[in-house]
Amino acid sequence: MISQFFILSPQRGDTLIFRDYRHDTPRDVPDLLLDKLKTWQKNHGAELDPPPIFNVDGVNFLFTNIQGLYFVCTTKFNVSPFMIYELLGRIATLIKDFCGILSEECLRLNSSLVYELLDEIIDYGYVQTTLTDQLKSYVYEDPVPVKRENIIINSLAKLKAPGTNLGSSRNRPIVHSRDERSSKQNEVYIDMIEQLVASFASNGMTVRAEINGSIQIKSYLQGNPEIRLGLNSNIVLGRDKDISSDKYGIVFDDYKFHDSVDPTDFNEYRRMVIFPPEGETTIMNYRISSDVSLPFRIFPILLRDPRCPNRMDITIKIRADIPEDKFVSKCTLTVPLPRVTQSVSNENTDDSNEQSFQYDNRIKNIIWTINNLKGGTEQSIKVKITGATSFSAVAELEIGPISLEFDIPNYTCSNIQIRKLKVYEKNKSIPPQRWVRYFTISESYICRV
Amino acid sequence: MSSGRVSFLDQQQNREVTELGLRLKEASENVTINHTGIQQTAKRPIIKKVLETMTAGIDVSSLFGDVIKAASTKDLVQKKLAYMYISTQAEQNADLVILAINTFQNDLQDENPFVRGLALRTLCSMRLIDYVPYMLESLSHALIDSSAYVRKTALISCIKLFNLSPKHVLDAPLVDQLYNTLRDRDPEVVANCIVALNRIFLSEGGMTVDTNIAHYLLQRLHEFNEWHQCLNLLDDRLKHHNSGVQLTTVKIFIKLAEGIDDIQEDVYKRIKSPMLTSLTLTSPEIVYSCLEHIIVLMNQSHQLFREDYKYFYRRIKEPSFVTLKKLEVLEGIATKISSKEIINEISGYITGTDKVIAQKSIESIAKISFRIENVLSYSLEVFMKLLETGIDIIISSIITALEEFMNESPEKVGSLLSVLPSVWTSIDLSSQAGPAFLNLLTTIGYEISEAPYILESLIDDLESYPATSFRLQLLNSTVTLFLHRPAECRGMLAKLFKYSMEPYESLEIRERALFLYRLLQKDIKKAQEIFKHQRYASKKNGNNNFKTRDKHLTKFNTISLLYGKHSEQTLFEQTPGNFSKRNDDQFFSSPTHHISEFDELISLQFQNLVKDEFTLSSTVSIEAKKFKACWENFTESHEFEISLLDSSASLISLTLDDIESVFEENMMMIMASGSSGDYLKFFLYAQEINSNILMLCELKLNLNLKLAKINLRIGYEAYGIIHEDQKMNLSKYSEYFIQYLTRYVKELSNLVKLGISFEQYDY
Repeated sequence: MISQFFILSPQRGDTLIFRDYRHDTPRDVPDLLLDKLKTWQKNHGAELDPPPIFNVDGVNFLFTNIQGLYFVCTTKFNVSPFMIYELLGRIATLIKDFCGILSEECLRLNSSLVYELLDEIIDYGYVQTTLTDQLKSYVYEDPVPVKRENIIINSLAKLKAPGTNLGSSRNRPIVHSRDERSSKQNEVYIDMIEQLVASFASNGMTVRAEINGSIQIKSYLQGNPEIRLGLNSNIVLGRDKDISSDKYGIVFDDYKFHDSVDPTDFNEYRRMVIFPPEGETTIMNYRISSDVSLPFRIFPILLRDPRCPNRMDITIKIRADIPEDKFVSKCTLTVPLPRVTQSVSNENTDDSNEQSFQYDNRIKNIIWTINNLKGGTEQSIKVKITGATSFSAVAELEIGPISLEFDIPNYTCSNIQIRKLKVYEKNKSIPPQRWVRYFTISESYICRV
Repeated sequence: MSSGRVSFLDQQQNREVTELGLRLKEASENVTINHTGIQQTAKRPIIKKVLETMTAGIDVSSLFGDVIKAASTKDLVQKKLAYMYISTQAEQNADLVILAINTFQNDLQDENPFVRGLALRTLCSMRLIDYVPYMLESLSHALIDSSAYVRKTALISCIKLFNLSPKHVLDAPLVDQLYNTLRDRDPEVVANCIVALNRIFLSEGGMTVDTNIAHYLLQRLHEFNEWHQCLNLLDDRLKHHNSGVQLTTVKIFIKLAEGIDDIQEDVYKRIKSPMLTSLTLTSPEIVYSCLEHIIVLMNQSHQLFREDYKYFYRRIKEPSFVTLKKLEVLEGIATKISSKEIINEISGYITGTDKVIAQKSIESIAKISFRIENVLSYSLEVFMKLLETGIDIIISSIITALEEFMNESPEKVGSLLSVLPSVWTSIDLSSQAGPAFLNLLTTIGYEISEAPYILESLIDDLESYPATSFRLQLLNSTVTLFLHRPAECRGMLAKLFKYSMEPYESLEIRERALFLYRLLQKDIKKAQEIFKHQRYASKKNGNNNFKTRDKHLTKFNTISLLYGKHSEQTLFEQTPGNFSKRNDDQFFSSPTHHISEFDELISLQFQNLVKDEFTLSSTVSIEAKKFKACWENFTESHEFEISLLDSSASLISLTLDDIESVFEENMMMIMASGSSGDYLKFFLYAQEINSNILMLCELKLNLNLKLAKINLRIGYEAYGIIHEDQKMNLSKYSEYFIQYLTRYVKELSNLVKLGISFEQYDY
């Protein structure tokens, strides 16, 4: 049972949206939360994030930070925290679905629409529905578009592949003005995203390699048709099964489907039937941790001259182990340096457009950016660092871990692909457009020095 | 100055509100098309503005009358906004609400079901008892409305009404109507109906569920939407995409498996995989909740996650509250095989920029090494390397950890301590590392030539270290060092005593100083003896968490679990559908006896003993003559043997002193002891406080055969005529004594097994 729901903009402490469902908690809770957050920062410093739950005078605050906005629920009851966090995330998605994007300005412009939504999503603290289809029939207000130049690029826009224009159309609200509703859009976007979690030891050994994959669908299809989607047939389900019989399979440690998926055929044919709700839905999540072939290797080398204890040379080499026809548009390596570091110089003569190098003396970090790193090639950098005083004997402990950020379009690390995608339409008048994209992105890709 | 500004702000706000009111009065109802091409009435943007003002926390209650008028409109959005205003502001304008009733009643008859639902929802949201009759009437119609939307809304409205006035709901024929609604064809209506019934009959433990209803509901489970599955609690939906549903399912699995050990392990295995998946993709808040739950599961079944430790490694972008929880999990799941790898991983977090994580990481490494002894040397190696970084926060934390290690393996740590003089200036002495550092310094004080000078510089700068714990330790350390090296320390000790006895010092410090001063003055030999035997208080507190956490299983999938052991029932109001309520109550009302891990290993036979009834006196003392007299007089006697064969360890290394100290620590006094042949022989006595019953015991212990022969006699000290009830008492207490004694005799074998010898005394 949720007592209140509100959205805070933490910069100025403004309450953008506030809905009291049960009137059993004080009206000034947003201020209470802001106070609490401020005290936390004072006591623990800005670097330590506060836990996502607080109790102030018997009122429980559960909150989550979505694109710089705090989505908060308060409750007096001992409810399921998962429920609340899921709900908060869901509300954010719904607002995005209905308004197109999620930003402070968008919320201000569309407050009445958001209130309409909230009124239907929760009644007296009880969740009623979060289905886009259902809510669509309850909501009457039209979305007010945010002027283009004001759009804060959301995280998904980052995934936009170069050369395609999909990004902007994905940011359309699913609900249109009444007269526009009959317009002829009939499209479905499917994104297959694999997030990589990997770490290497200083000797180059892989400590951990894990793929967290998801299939996301955003449907603008008319009349909720059935979609059939088939994956590679060499997927093996479950780690416990006897793998030897299917040596070359891709082994799923675990997977789960959204409610709108009928996975009856999945066990046998790796096929699923989807009735996608309008808007954005993650239809499947999976996890792979065995036999992951990682797309990049990093080789750091540290050189110290005993005669100059305040100097160190670091050479970092990166190798892209992806097929030659693939490339990474942008790849960023961040290397933390020892606290006594004073200056850094880059010895690479080749400072073309392909590479750039930055040193931030405040946080003692170097950032090395490589553009268009092609599969099968290598790049390296040599950096001389100078300390204000001598580096300690164990200064290498303070260097690293090197973290790597990248996204590789048109590539899945696991080799999973959508082999079949069919939209079964009753009304064949407009052929549906299908868009499929693949991404491999770094979630946490680190190398110890 | 500031008050002037506030009133200016107020004025400005008032002006804004008044202006809004004027505009509201003037605005027409006619539909126009605004600049963005959207059809709307002129009033709509004004009402929207009113709501924005309300959201900003400004008082807009003066506009109530105008907004009510705006509610009767054909513009649905305007109506919704107006209704939202009314439901929020109704209390402040109770007398004006009557004006709105007409609009409500019209809307309740509207042909659009959403309008009917909206009107009903708003009407019942007003917390005004005077209008309950209106609400009741409209509810009875709405519950049989043709639209599922209206019925659904009506059910939630029943709850609102019940909270407003329980009497009205129970008296009306509503309840029967509710039970009928359970058979509604729309699943959402049924779900809300269950919610409503549960709330209304909360005091009776929820709605009455007979087998018919239960079967019926189970059949329909799949129709319910995700949010109600959480409430309805039965499904094998572990693979559900909503982690709330997933966790509820986990909870039911655990509940069903409770008490059936064979299934339990199996159940844990099955829930493991989905929980790990939740860790990988979802939002950090869900990951955080999930980790808290994993910690509880981990304490139930230590084996469960031990092979999955890599999932709990830190990710580069995650918020620190998640990392801190992950470290806690890693502490618990490290095994002999994985611990070295885990410590290596964690050591990588220490040199990062985040101080809190650095501290927690060091603590985690320490905790793992406590539990798994064979990695201790490796951890120490890691620590020594980190000390060389010269970073204050790391050094302070490591010193604290080292002090704790000192209790466990003084030899290993002791040899490393020569590093202290070179790092001590980096230690944050005002934190808990301060006393820890002093303690360590004292331990090796006689080996390190710098030790007195370090102490001296501290004493000279005493004002900088006001913390009581630090000052007490400083007193102890200086005295200890003085006993070792009197010549070098005499001066500074005198100085320290002088400072510590100043009247402005805290009582605790003055008392301690005075005590030490007198001790040294009176008998320096005795002092030496005492300080030689100074023992570290064991801080091995990491394991206690395990026990308190066990009980949290009943709180699975609730907020209180996230608060960990600090949670209290009082934080929450009663929740309908909280099936574990009773368990929780028991947990919170029973006083939690502090049972150390050590006790638990051996207390199996002692469990049924009521502690309050059986307390041994710690001050009893009798003379040999009396012992003999009692021995002969007591009629209640028991002779039995205890075999220690189940202990694999050899007992031979136990000495008379070891054994005596076990008994003495547990209030069983030694009259005499000695060894004869293969036997160690003890005469023990003890007195129970409540009944004054004396226990005398002759214990013969054969360490080779691992056999204890016991002759126990029990009676009253003042012998004479024994009353009937006293006789009863005697037999009762003889049971207790036998259990008590058996427990500690068995503990002897554990002494050896756990490798805890009392060599520390000699250190």
